[in-house]
Amino acid sequence: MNYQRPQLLDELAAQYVLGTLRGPARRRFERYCKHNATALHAVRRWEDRLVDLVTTAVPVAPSALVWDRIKFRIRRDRALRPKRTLAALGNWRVALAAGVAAIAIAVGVWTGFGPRSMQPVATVWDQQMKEMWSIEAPRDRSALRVLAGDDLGLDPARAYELWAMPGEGAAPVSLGLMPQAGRGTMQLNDAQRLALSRSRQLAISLEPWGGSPTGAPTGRVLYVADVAAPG
Amino acid sequence: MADVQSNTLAAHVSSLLPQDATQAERIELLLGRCAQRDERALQELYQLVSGQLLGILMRILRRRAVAEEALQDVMVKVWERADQYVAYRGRAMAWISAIARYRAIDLLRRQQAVAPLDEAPAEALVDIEAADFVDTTTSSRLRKALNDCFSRLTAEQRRCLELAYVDGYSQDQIASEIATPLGTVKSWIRRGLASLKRCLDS
Repeated sequence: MNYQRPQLLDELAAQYVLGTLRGPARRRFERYCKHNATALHAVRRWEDRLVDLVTTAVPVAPSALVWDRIKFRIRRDRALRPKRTLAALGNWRVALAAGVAAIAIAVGVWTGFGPRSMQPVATVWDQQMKEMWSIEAPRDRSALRVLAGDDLGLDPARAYELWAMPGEGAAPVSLGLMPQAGRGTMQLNDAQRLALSRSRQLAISLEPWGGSPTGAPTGRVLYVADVAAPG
Repeated sequence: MADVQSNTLAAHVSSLLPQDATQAERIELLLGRCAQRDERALQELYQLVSGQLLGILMRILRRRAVAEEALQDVMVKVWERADQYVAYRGRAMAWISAIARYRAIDLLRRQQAVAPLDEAPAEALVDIEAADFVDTTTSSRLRKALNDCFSRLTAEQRRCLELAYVDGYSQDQIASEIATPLGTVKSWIRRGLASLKRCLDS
């Protein structure tokens, strides 16, 4: 889907707010909005335009237990983690149930990352705007955590290598190999961290199995992604 | 019992806020206090908006148990995100309703077919305060504009947009509900949205 066309973007925003954009297309658009102010603005404009339609829904009084459950959940969340942990995740529009948050914390501890410290580094899209990988890191960017999208259709006999692009004539610096499914972690040494800190873009090249044999990209560059400024 | 509770609460809320504060202003002030982690503010906000939100959620999710679970999710999210509300300043109800509708649509993925309503909305226990709230949360000018523009759509366009927005139907479900080919439904929706936009933005 080409999100670059303003009219199409606005139609998608309208269908998103209306609720008729469904399935993978909905989730893809949701993720796109996270990084695109124009799309987010279009969504908010449509929310404004349509909000009064819901007033045709007749109010229904909730049973008394609902408030008790809410109170229980926010107190449990506060006890489980420091203030504003979820807000720091910055995952807008994802209604994160407390149970999911607890699992995320458990996974975070297990992999050595606290969710509080994870920040987006880059999202890699293909030309059809399908999200291929999302890359995040703790604040000091000592490691990258990479989450592969669904059904990437990659060649399992090849490697997809991630490069920092420090620019100004400096050579690309390999950061590691992208997982073809699921998630992967790349521990970064000082040279890699420095290269990453100087990079405005990351690139992914197609390499032989096991990665580039020379330390420099040998295959063609398949994807380029912008690096988010450290928070 | 419910009346006594809501009257007491209404008195409590009005004691904290300027007498002439509109419902929308009240919600904004309460969100501000939620951002400061004031649990009492969340409770007051819940009393103000929960009836309306559950109405929205029930229309889409149909089953009370599922809708009440979703209501919990929505309020927890409002609590967690109250500090991000600043981007929506002046549009408190648009923000909260959007959270509720998106949560309901997410949950719909798990329940494929349209289930019968647990209880007919007309027979549902109506929270009087929540009903008043509907009239005071958005500016009457905006509401009138939407009504005017909505009434200019064709009957088919109105029906499709309502089924989608209020009842959470997918385009396939709408096509089957009104026994019309999917392509026609898609076109009605697209044109309906385009007409609404033109009318509201003019």
